[in-house]
Amino acid sequence: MRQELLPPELVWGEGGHVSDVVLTTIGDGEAGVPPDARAHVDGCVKCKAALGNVALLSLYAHENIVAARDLGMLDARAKDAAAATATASFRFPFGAVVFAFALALVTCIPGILEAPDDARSAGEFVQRNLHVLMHHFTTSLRVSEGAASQGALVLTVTSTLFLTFLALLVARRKAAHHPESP
Amino acid sequence: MFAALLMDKPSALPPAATARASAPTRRRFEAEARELAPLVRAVIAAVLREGVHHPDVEDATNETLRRALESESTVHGPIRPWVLGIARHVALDVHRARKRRRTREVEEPHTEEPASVRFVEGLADPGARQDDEFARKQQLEKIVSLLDTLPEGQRNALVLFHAEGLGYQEIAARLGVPLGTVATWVTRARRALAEALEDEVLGAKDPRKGRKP
Repeated sequence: MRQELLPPELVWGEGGHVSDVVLTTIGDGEAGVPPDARAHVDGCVKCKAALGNVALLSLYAHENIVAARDLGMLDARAKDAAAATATASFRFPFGAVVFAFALALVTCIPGILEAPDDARSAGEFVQRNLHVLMHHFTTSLRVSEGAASQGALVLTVTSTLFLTFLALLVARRKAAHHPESP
Repeated sequence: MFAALLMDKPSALPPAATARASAPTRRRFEAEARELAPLVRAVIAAVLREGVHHPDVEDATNETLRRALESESTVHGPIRPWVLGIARHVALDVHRARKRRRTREVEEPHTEEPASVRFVEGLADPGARQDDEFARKQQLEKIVSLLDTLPEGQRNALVLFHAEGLGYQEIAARLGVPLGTVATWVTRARRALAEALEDEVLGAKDPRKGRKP
């Protein structure tokens, strides 16, 4: 599996030094720091000094949170975190689905605009040719069982899946570019 | 091998320490400790407020890794915080020895250290607060209540990392967010804790403030 790296906008801070996010990631012994940022920290006195402070803060947080956990003071928060994990695993992509429906609606606009004319002409047609229409209707029912109808169904489902896939892709890219959004 | 690579003092290793652990366990420990050496040096430099190449920092780094190797069999849980805890302890010993030496050599007028320096010292020296069980529990309660004030994502990331022992990648997968989001959440959560606890840490280091009854 390919190692995910921190995005460039989170890597560099002021004055050409690495950001606190990079120092925290290195201080926690985590992978994901781009090689050039890691090389900068190895050769930069200022970043190394900052890394020491970040590691001390990490150690301080670790000791206190572990101590609180061992005393049972973190039970509710641990449950919250576990619940968040479960929610994330089965999160329904509402945004993506809404986007897909909105896109489908936009493609329907020309048809909707022409609908009144179509309805009027259809009414006149029904009045004039009711018996012919009934005959056509029964014929249509028979035809609908044929291959042409199945092809149309496949086309519709494929289009829907494609639109949903596009929506998921857009949502994923949006999340990757806005890491602050929960 | 480990001593030569990390400690520059092969002779300082007691034979008992090298013979105690089984070979695979030892090799794994050596590999992890080798990766931690730069971080150990950075922590010691931060406590001593020296550059990473200062002789005292080098000595303390070697001493830290020697002690870690000697007591390798006592490790329970992740190695990184355990080794960094030793580094902090060794660095504080050096720091106190320096203070005593300065006091003996020169009658220096008392000068107030900046708050940022005292805060780092406070992080480095939790001993004063941990001696008193009641004060310790109060401190933990305060930290837990501070966790509750954090945004949900930050709190969950911090709890999953420290209390559950998950890595950033695992947290990202579990919470369904990118790696950068997890790293940002952890960074901001710790910064928020540090800012909120600054007064307490400084108070514990400043004898004039005393402890609340």
